[in-house]
Amino acid sequence: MFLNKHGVLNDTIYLRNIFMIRGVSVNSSHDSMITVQGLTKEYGTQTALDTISFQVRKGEVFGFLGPNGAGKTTTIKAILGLIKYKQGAIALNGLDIVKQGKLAREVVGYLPERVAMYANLTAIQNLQFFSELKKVSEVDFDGLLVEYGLGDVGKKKIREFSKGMVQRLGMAQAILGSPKLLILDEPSGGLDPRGVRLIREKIRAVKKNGTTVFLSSHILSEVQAVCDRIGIIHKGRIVAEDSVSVLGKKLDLKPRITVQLESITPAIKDAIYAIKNLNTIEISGNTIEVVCNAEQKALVILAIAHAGGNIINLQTEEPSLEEVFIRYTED
Amino acid sequence: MVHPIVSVAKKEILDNIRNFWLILVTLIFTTLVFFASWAGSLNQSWANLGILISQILAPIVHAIAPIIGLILGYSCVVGELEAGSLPLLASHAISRTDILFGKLIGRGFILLYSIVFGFGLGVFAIAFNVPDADYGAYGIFIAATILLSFVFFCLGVFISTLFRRRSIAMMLSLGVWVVFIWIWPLITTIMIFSLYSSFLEKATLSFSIPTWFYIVDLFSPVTVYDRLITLTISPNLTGDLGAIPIPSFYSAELMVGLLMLWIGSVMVCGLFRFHRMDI
Repeated sequence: MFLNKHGVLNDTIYLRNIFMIRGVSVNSSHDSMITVQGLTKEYGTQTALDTISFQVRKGEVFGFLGPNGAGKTTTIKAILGLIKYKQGAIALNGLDIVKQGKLAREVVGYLPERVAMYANLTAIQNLQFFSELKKVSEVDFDGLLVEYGLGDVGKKKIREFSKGMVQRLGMAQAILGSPKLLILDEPSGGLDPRGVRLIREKIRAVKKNGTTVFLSSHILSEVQAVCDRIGIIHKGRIVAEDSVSVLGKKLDLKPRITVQLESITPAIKDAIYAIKNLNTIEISGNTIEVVCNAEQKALVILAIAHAGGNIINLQTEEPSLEEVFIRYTED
Repeated sequence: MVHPIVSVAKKEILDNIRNFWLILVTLIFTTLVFFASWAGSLNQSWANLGILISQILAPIVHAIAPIIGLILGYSCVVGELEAGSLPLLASHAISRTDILFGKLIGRGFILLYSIVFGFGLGVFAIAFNVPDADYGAYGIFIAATILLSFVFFCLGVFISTLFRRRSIAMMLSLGVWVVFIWIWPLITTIMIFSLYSSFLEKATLSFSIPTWFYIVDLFSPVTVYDRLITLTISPNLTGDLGAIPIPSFYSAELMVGLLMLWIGSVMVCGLFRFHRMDI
């Protein structure tokens, strides 16, 4: 065992980037906030998580994606030490979540997918309770509620709240005490567009303060807007882990070029169709859309010019997260 | 800084003090105790009041106090699990032992409050009718009832760690109540009749109940409670538990010890199970 008496990893071991948790060799480093190594979770005969491994670096926003039932929430619960697992190891800020769970969770702020607060308590009583658990004192609860658009309902009981209001309160609770790690499981669920924007702004704000964010979401535009790297889980296995652009390159996904012309003549169409290996060509009105690499993009522009076309506008759209997600989660 | 156990206990009190079913059962309990105490203590001295407690009040109390305990216990873990607030609570820097102890203390306080409130009004009724009332004995009665209700409260808490659905936990809790209040006394009665029948067949001169029956009889915490009341409050009845003589090894200390053993063992089982469950 390479943990010192406080359960913290020895520096020497950190330098080697390897430590042991319950017989599992875990590659970790100073800059790793979450390390999951060979995690396997079974429910009866069904394997929910199949030897998954990934790392979340300190200070990054990590998007965790996957189809429904892929194992996202199970992974989050395992990271938080809420479920028992058969094999593998999890380190949170360098601490074994099984043996030093209480200490490891001190750095965590968590917003569950199905956030539920105490129905018979008011919003302020709920926040007071969680601030006591987080050992946070002198919190301006009224100010906090105003910040989350709940300024006038602080003394109302949660049973009178809508789902969106509970979600906002849950987010306020998660950020209480400025945790080093924020774990958000579908934070935009049940929120109106204003609420979605609020959550996005909060994620950006906490990132600026150096907080690591682990974000599980179905809203891919949201993930693409705020995440530095993503991990994709499919059928209990991690199928991809990197930045969106790197994953796009790995899949050989090409950008989409949209060319707007004054007019499209048959000569221009023939010139475009004559270019080899263009994956997708869509021509409608005065617009041509093609999916191609940088070399082919130059050929398209040249072909249009040679055919006498006059380009008004040219746009290049990088491969979207949606394409990356769909490709990685194909059966 | 407030200890997490205290925080959870406070939260449990605030969240459960207005539980509809708890209030309803407590009111029924209070009303029954009050009227039984009032009617029973009219023109009575304390000597007769002891009989009132063991013969009239105890049977009412031993049926209702377990219900109050079970109502508070069965939803303790599964209720929060089903509502979805348990994962959020357990995601904080708090151990599962602290969570469960916080819940036990918080809900235990409500239980204590309900029982003491119910008996409190009964005391007024007795004090009004019996000037020389032995409040010490009445205090023992209250303490014994608190022990009994805590046995069922801890049983409820243990049940609440076994299931992921509140309705199933409630059904099992109800089943436990039926077993200990109705089925077990029926079983022991049948056993006594069987023993007596075999005695008649053998035409033995003296009928004596075997020791093992007295040991088996103490399996139910409700029986233990009844014996404790008889032994402490109306010892003049100890030679005659209805038609059954009381054995020499029965003592108030043994009964208290058995109730404490129930509380301790069921609490340990609940803690063991809570530590191993997926939240």
